[in-house]
Amino acid sequence: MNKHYPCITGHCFHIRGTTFYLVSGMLPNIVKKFGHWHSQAFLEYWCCLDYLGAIHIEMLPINPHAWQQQRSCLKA
Amino acid sequence: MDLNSALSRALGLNICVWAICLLSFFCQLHSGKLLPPTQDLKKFDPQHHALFSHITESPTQNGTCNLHLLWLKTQKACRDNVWIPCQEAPLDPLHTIHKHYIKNKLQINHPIAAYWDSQGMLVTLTRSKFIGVSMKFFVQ
Repeated sequence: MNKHYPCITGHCFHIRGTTFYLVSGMLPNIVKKFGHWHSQAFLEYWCCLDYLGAIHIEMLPINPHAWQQQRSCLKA
Repeated sequence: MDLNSALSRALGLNICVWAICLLSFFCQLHSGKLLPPTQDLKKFDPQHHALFSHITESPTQNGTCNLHLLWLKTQKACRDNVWIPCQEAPLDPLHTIHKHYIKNKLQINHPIAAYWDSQGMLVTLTRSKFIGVSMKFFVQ
């Protein structure tokens, strides 16, 4: 078995697609809705978590108040 | 994607596998939502797995399409739509599905996961076959 691809299951393309959108900068709640994830279980499947964490911290705006407003609009 | 260069486009099966890869990747779909458990077309249940007729143009007019899913395991028969986004070639799922539809000479009421086998029979791509073909090329 190739060390880079240890196992392929029916979930692999789903999970890699989710990771692709997160790495592309799409908001996690949009990715969750788009991917029909109905529980927080999808957090367990996130790949490249170190990389994703860095990206999402980098994307934080300087003005936290504006960020809160943006989140409120998205929830509405 | 290594699979893209590894899959020969001469085989209907490979074109089908590539279309399902891109569809499940960009639509974040579990392969079970697209692939039936048996390759026998007579046992295919259109209420559980997608047909070409379930793909419709999106009202957003940005080139995306909708795939209408009639069955979701987590929602128990609740209908839902997924968006099929446009991407640049050769990773555009819409272009690949169209190519699969044309090259495999399929019809609008056929399952998306269908192809003509070596004996000239129209069969559906099962999950085990899909994983088997994908694995074969990934481990090369």
